[in-house]
Amino acid sequence: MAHFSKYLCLYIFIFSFVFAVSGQAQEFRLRAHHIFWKNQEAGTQREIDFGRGVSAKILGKYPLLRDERKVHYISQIGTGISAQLGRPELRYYFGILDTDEINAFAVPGGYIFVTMGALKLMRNEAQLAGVLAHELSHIGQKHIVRKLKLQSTDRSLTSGIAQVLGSSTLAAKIALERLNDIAFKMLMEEGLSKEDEADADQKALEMLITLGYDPQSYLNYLQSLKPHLAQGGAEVLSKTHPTIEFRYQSLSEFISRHQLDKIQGKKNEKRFKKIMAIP
Amino acid sequence: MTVIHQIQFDSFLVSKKYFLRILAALFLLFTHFVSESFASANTVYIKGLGAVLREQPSIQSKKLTNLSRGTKVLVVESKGIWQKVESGENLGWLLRGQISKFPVKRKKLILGQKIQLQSASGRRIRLRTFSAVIGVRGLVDSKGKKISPYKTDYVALEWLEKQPSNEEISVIFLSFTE
Repeated sequence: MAHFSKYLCLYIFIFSFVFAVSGQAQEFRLRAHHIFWKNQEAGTQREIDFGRGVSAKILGKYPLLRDERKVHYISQIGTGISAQLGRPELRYYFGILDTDEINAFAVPGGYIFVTMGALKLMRNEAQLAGVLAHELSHIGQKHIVRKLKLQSTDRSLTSGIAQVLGSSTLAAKIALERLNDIAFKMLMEEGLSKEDEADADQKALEMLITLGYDPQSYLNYLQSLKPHLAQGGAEVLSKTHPTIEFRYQSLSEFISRHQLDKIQGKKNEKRFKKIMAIP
Repeated sequence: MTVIHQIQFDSFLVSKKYFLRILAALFLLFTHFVSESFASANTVYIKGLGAVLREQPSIQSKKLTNLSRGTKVLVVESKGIWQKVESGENLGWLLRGQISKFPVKRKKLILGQKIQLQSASGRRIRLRTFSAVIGVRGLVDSKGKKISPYKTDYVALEWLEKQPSNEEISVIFLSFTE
């Protein structure tokens, strides 16, 4: 028996040494990486398919503004941000919803909507960039996808939802449709967690600084939301987001922690007012 | 016989000397796997266009060079929202939003992707994605109730998807200062 145990140790030593020295370990890592990668690629495609369904529902609730000049402007600002700080694998779409309600939506897969009510409230381009950056970071951090535990973030291959999204049978389509409804409800009624919203606010502020915009403008925009929330001009927003006090507080903490209070930037007020036709 | 075998094997595992040897062997195996991932943990990739490497961790600081999308850089130090990175001969500061832990992936485009699906009557229909199919057909469940209570507008969505967009031009548009 003593011989057996001695040899066992030796075998383990030899095996580990040979495995590591030969190309085996490297190959194993490469293969694992490849499988993970393929999985990620498929996840992105599913996220886009999923996002299209949810976007279509948002457009079913609110009409899309088909003003090419304004949409092109928003799209250029948004694409400019996403090209630098967004997820490089996604093509982002920016739309304006023709409603007086104040809100903005980020749908998985790269669909971002801002309402006309929110645009009317904004005073400069830095505020618009801030709102778009907030929504972009929801997509960048995959907040909704994570909450729904969709396949693209859930690493396990056997996840039930993953199979549903990958399949094209009728049952799978119905399940996908149900999932779309859950996401739509999340955007319209339940909202994300307080932490996710605070995280998106902080990321938005960081993005504004990176792009050379004035970060204070974003805080001003949050403050300007306050009276409208009290009057009920942003019913969905107040239901789905934490209070302005909470958001302001968490941003102030973030600013003092990273010493960002002295940073100033551009506001591009003239360009914004010209295109939005604000006198 | 097998029982005795078992007991002897157990006592062998408990025996401190051999236990330590096995532990050492397993540790060796483990380190071979982990060492490389630790070594490359500092490697990150530039994920966006227009990333500027600066001399100091400040927006007003002097520009050293522009880094193109997908460039592999090594993180040396981090300070708040700034990261000190090494790229070839250059050593400078980047904002942490501009880098990604994973290599840059190809862009997924939905335009031009059409999939074929069989409609209820057996006629082949062509639509972009299967979620679009549900929207158009208005699926009903076994009790004849509509599955989703919400209205959809895929025509508006397609209008939005057809709007032109160009990343390079947008970055220049964004960099404008009044």
